[in-house]
Amino acid sequence: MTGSERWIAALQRGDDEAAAPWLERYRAFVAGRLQRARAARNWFWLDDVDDAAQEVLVRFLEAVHDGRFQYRDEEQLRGFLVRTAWFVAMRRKDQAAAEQPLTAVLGDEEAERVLEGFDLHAFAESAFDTWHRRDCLRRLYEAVERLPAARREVIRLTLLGLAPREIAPRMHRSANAVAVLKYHALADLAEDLERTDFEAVCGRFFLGDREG
Amino acid sequence: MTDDERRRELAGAEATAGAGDTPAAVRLRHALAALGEFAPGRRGVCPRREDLLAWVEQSLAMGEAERVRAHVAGCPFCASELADFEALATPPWLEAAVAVGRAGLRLLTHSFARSGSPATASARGPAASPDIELRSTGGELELRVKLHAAAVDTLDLRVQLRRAGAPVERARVNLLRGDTLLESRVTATGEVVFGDVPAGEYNLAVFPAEGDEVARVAVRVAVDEDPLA
Ligand SMILES: [Zn+2]
Repeated sequence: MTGSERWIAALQRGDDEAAAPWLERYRAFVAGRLQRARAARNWFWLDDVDDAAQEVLVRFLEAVHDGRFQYRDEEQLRGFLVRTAWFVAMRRKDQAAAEQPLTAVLGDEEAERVLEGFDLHAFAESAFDTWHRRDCLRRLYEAVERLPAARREVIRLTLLGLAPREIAPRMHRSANAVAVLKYHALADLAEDLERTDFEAVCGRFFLGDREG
Repeated sequence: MTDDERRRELAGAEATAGAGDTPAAVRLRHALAALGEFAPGRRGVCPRREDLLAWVEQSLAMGEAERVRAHVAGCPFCASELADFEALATPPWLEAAVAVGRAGLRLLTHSFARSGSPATASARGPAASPDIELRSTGGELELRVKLHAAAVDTLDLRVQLRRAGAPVERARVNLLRGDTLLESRVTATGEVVFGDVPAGEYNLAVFPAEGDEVARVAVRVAVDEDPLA
């Protein structure tokens, strides 16, 4: 039995305390990887690496306890920790994304690439089908693509989470001009959606039980 | 900010224009709600993260793999998450965590990305020792990092890059914390020494005299809480 096998057997017996020093080695490994990825990928939304590493270890322990993790070798153990670290990190990113603009979540450089390169058509074409959401997404995006160029661009950037004041410099217009343009774009879009019966087919995805 | 508040802020002026119960105002609000719901950042039409992972690890059936591939090509958000995964999954040339304490150094974890054969470490497991040496090879280059306990809470780092068995002179070695450069040195008499490095997380970036960075080393130094453990 290798060291790790012995300690995992201890964990499976519920003897977590005995395995604690062994577990510390993997805490250092996970924290090190998170730290590096944070620096390399500008994860400034991850403010507490040690807390994230702790969550990874807790999930690892759960997996050992309920038999979802069976030790094979060192590489497999590290692979499991890396994948778990990714899930934990991405969940924290989701939380940040609900509260912060795109640039704060992706970092300036990557956000810029997304804002420049995001293609409505390509995205709609590649959408995954989950409960017919894809069909509705396509219908909506096709309606956006039918708008005149400037109105389409305002809506494209709105879809990526930008407010009019953030759109303004990208379109070389004032924030007010963008707000007006966006109003007209939305009015056009709303009319198109009504004509194509969008709400009747897809309303359940975005109207909730508030109205409609 | 809640989703609703955010949507309202993003809506800006037209939210006010769209207030009220006229059919036009209601239509406008609904169009905005649809845009919010189908914003790509919400990942509503993205593959599950489990499937993204299964795809990079090549454990998806062919048709499914093709669907994920096509999606990632059109979705910058999934592409970004996969780049995040790569960053986590790609080990540096050498990665080690050591604890420094009264009894010397303990190697907590180590891994070697490039070397085909296990690198030598003069100390393994729980026993403490004053010195640890880590080695990793890639092609004709070999990197050696020697760690020496300098005090109860600091250590010395000696870095040597060798090509075809001989030390590379004038190789540059940067000591970083995260991406922040702390010190940059050039090898003379075969190595670079960073003295009295306190506990913390460090990266070493190694460059031969000319050319790109060849190696990145991650060293995590912890103060040994219990040297007798
Ligand atoms: Zn996606």
